[in-house]
Amino acid sequence: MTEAKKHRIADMDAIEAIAELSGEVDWTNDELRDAIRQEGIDPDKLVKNVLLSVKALNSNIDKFDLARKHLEAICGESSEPIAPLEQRLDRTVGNKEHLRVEECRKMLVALKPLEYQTILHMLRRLSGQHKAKKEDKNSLLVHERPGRKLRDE
Amino acid sequence: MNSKAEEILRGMTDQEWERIILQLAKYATRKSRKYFYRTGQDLLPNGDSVESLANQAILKLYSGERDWDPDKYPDLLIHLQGIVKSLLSHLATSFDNLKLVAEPKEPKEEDSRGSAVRQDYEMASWQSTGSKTPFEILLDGERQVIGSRALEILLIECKDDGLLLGIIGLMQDGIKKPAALAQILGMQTKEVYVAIKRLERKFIVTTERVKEELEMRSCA
Repeated sequence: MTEAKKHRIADMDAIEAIAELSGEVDWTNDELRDAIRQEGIDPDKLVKNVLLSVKALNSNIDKFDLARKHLEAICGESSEPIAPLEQRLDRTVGNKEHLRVEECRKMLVALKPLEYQTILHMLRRLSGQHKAKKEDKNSLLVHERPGRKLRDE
Repeated sequence: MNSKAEEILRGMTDQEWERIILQLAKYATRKSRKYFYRTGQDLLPNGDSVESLANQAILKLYSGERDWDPDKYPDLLIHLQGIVKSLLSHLATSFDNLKLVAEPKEPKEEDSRGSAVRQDYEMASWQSTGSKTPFEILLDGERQVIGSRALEILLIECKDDGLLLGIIGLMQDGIKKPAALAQILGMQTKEVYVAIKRLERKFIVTTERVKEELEMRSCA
């Protein structure tokens, strides 16, 4: 046995090191596609499907932003962060008969981009639009319109 | 999510996302392969799992569950890889949990079922100590057998490629960095990178063969 062989690592350690080796290398998109295809994954389908999710999430960010701005405007201090707003809602908004404080609180705690519809619903209630016409109600699901409507007010 | 992160995400082009998605998928399969050699478990048995992992990671990023601070960590890919890594780790923990058995309660001395219960308890307690159980020792041995078999298949796959055989030999000697490999081989690092990509393709084939062999063995 040569000197070098005496220092050989276990076969499994060598295999694990080989498994990690490709992470050190910069792959082009075409090379990545080939390698992924070899793993039994369709790269085109993968990219297409994940991109669809990204676009949906980006769209939700827009809606969420709009909702958040209006929520802040309605509550009087546009620069106030969400958490203090939540506490303040507990104290003040409860006086309004049509609002249930606990419901508001829960919604605010759960503020996430994907929950924009809930937020929009809440905004409608906060801004006193609970008696809005049926067609306006439906329009809340379209992200540009509710914001414009609320801002006009 | 902070506003800077939102701005960056909204400004990203499809091409930028495409690159990140492909790199993320490659990362997930690489980590999953390593986990397979460590435990014998296939975390991503089909392509759908990779897509689901990528989607979950991106959703966690957007929802703020795994908040991204671009000032602190400018590389979005590294942030997403971190999320994928913890998702894989969660999957691995779920697998491990399936193997766990709750430790039995210590029987009372006056237990009517007598010494058999006490004996079972003592055996279970011995198994739950820090030292390796016979089963774990068996698994360790099995792991080394799988490692040797994988190396054997890989060497056969690379038999016509002298450079790849040289790289594998050096890695067996514990040299793991491309720059160090290049220096010993008297080549440019870029040339070694090209060889590593070839090696990766052979390694994917090798892993599939090992999985097949293991499956055949478990069916027999």
